[in-house]
Amino acid sequence: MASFAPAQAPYRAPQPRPQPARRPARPRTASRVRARPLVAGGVLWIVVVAALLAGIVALNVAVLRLNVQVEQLDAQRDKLAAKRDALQTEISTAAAGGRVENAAVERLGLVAPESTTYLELKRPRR
Amino acid sequence: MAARVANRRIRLLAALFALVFAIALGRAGWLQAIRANALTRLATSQHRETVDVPAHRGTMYDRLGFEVALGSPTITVYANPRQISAPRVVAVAVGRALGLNPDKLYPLLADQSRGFVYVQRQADPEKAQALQREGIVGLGFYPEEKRIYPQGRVGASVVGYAGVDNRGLAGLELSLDRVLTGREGEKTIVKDPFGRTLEVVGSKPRSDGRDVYLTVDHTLQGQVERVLNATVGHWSAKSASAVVMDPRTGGILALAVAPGYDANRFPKVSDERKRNRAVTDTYEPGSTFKIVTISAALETGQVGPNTKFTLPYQIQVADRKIHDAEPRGTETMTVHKILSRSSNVGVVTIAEALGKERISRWIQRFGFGRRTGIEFPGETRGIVVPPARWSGSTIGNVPIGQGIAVTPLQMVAAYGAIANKGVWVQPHLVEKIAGERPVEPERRRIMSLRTARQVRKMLREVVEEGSGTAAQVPGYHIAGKTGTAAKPDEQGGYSDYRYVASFVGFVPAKDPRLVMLVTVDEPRGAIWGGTVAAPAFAEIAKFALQYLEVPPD
Repeated sequence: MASFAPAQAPYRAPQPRPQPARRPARPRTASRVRARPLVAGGVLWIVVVAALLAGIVALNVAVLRLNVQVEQLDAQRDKLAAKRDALQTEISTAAAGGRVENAAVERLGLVAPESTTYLELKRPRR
Repeated sequence: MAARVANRRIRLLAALFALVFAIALGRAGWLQAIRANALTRLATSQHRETVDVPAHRGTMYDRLGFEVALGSPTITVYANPRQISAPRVVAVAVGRALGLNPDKLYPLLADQSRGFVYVQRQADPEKAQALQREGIVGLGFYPEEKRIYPQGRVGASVVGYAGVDNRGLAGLELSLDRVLTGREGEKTIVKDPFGRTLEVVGSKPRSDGRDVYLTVDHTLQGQVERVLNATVGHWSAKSASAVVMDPRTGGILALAVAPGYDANRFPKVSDERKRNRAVTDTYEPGSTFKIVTISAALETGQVGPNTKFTLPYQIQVADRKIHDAEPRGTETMTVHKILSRSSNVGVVTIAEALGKERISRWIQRFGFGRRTGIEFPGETRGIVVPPARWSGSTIGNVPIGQGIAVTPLQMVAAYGAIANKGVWVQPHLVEKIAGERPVEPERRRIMSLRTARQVRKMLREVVEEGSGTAAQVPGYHIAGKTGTAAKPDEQGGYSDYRYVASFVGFVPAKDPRLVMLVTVDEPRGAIWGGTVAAPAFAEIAKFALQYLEVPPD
């Protein structure tokens, strides 16, 4: 198996890299000093507006959810009212005099009283 | 070189963006400015819907708070045949779910010329909901209220019925329709793409109908109907009617006719059977009308209770011969006896002494010839001939209850005045509407307390020793009067075999709690009020007195 080695470059002693000449520090001008709070203020405004927008969206979503919930509760109320009415009808039909009487006669074998007898009670003389 | 290429690309991109933006802006302008209205309408129609909110029809209760008519929730199923692609399949599915015949449904669902057809009005809510869950395209559902009459046949002739549109068609359902019917509301909803409600953007609240409490007692009404049915069966009569009223208040406790009908099945019942004849029909009252002449004579001082008259069996009045029911010789009778023996000759003799003007005034005073004003539709005023149109023989007819037509209700109100110490009270069926009393019933004194007492005493004699002994109830004194009147025939005379037998009276005689009338139309085998109607009166009275816990007198 053949092996290869990279060609060796002639050794060179490391030279110090020339340092670029440092720019003299720019003096802070008054306009730059004023710009910083402006930027900060702008950022703050953006954050505030974003928060407000997010709040509005969140509020709208919450209102929408509540509306959906209200509608669901309304529908549930209507269903319960309908169920109550249906049960009321059932009770009224079951409690109807004719039905009770028929049930008494047919299922329990009861009979209507023939007549009423009144007894006049007199206080005994002492 | 490279910088120039880059700049050109940037400019191209900017131009492209500008173009796209311009197109978008133009489109937005087109949509928002030019097509705005049309699109708004389209959008609104797609996600907004205005739905009706049906009002609940008021419930009717009897005197004790039992429901006699109430609304029950149902679901109406409809279809849009244009949206149904496989009508045969849908017909089978609907038929299976609702228990309908698919062969009858198919032509309806296959009729593409119509955009709306009812599949079933007021369907069973559970079955309809099961069908709704199947999500068949082209079917629609909406809630509707159906009128139910839990007492069935009991009181149907009073309560009446409401139609499929929940509007009253007969009886109190009709006359109280405005009270019972509420006002429909509506709401505009915003829906999401799935049809779910997101928001209600506008609503008009519904106003439910008001509940009505009646004076009628369904237990007593049921018993009265049972007795009437038995009476009709026993005497093979055409029909019978009865009225039970509290004379002190004018409240009607029972207003029954036989044969009756079941209000839940009203479409299958003939109109003839659905009429409440006690209010809408008239009859010639016969002897029960004699109290008008006797009261008038007593009140005006023309006679006293013991004034004596010598009376032949028959008298001539103009071209008519008036005679008593049973042949007898000439007799001397007191006014008491005239009434208890129901002497036609005696009453006509007294009437002739009074004169037609006074008799007419007393007929009006008792409330005959005008409507009582009961809250029932179709009340008739009866037929009363004004004195100017009386013939020579009218004075021989009207005082004994012929040639005059009254309603059973008018007759009960008249006897109610005697029972109520001479004060006529307007009969009424409605006790309260939405917890409040309606207009107070009219009251007017039509005779003095003294006259009322005298007539009451005479009427007691009728039951104790006269023609009305079959109306007696053990333990109670009853005051009343029998009536047997031949019905007019087509030839302008009176029938020989068609009669109306009646008994009207009040109980307990000393302190009346109930005034009752029973009329039996065209009985066979017997015709007399004392034989046909009085026993029914006694049976009703016996039950009512015990049921209302009226102590014996």
